[in-house]
Amino acid sequence: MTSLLTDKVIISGIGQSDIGRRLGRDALELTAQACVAAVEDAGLTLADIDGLTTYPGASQAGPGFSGASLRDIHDALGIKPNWVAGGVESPGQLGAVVDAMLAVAGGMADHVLCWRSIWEGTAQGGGRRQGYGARGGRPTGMMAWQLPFGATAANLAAMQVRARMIRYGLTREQLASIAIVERANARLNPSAIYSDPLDLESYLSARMVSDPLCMYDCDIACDGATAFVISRAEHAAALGHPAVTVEALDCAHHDRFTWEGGEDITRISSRWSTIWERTDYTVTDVDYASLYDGFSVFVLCWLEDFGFCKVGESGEFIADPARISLGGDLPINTAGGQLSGGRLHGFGHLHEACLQVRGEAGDRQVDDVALAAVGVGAANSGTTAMLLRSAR
Amino acid sequence: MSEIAAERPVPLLTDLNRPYWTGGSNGEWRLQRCTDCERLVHPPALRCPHDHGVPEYVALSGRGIVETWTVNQHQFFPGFTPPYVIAFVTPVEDDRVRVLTNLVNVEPDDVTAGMPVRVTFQRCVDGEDEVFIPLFEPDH
Repeated sequence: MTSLLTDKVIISGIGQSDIGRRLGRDALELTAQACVAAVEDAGLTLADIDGLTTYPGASQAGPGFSGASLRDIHDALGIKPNWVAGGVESPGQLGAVVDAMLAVAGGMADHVLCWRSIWEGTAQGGGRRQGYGARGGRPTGMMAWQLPFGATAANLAAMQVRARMIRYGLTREQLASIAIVERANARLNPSAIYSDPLDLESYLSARMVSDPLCMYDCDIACDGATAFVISRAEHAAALGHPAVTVEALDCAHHDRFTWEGGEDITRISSRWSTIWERTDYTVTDVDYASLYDGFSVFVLCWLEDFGFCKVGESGEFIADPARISLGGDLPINTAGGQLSGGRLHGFGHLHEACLQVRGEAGDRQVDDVALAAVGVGAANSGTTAMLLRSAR
Repeated sequence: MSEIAAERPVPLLTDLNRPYWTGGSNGEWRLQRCTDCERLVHPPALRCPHDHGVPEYVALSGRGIVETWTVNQHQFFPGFTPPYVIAFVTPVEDDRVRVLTNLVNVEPDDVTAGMPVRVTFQRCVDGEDEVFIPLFEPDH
């Protein structure tokens, strides 16, 4: 049992731009840098690209939330696509990758270029980070239920941490493992934003952003773009590296697209995933996991929803950070995640998983990655779960 | 009332959300209730997310309990000065639904899980729209 995409569609190329806290460079140029790198990695030229997808496309969500829209790249690189799709209303950020895979499987395109570009470091400037919607105006949609109370995503994540403390006995010492492990991983990634050592004492004494969520639990705004090329499997023979395919894929979202509309405040929409019904592999086969960490607590949700531990037991599961560290049973977010590697917004997670499956993660390579799990998205944004392996 | 924000962003009013934001003019905290399964629904919708029944606004007692909360320490928004308490409150009529709100007239350290609270309103005006933002305080 596999997906209709399995061994039919491959991630043929991956690419990243320079990544930095505030590069002060043009966002379109950074995006193009990642796109061209991915096309070259796929052994192609820009003339071969016949499809484009991106998340979130043109967006007013906040300064730098979108580094380059679909039309920006279409124009800037002279692409002649037969099919395009860009937008924010998808099963999380990786919805753009899912769209690309479906387009290739459906015969709409042979090589789809897919990217996520973010420019929040430079766009937000030197001051402290502001909440989305801070620029004023009458709030609508989801924000109409948050902004009258001065609430942003960090506050909602903090309330999820508190709810887990109340119901499951989660402790800050347990939660600290996410930030500490990711920082240790980031020290092996030359592109990471933060590489100073981080220990438990520093974590516990850190500035609170929204008690009980501290600064180390929040991802760090940055500038950077990540791109992929999705191709028909026949192209695998032309590659100079292993082709990555999707063993299984799940995008279920049965909660409402607001935090309060979720059935269980301790969980995120990945709880509806049925990914293990879509493959003959089991959770014990996973060798590496990229788990979304816009805030640290989301990693706990993904650990439970992939079934690495039972619901409510993720705190105990990570109490010993060695388990999720390089050399442990389940290494996660080996590039440093978004907490230390920068807020590449889910595409960094997929990029790292591809490197791990290809055996190209360098000093942070996990031994013999036959199956990688990728979980991206959070409570109110939609989620995508993927299992990746080398194509056969 | 303890001041978290002298003025607050006034949501753009729609047919669907207007009763929630204006019920306070009569001192009423209103939520939708499904006319089929009688579960409360929030944020308001045209159909119940559980059985697709048609929800109608009802006035509640204004009493609830704190499901979870956070003490915000970071100035995310101009006009909202930290520290202040953001909470999810569940109405006593149905603990399967929650509303986002601020807790007022309480020291942040005194907030506890399951704490009884009652609604209080902050009047805000934007143009011709007058709204009454539902906030909650300890229900002693």
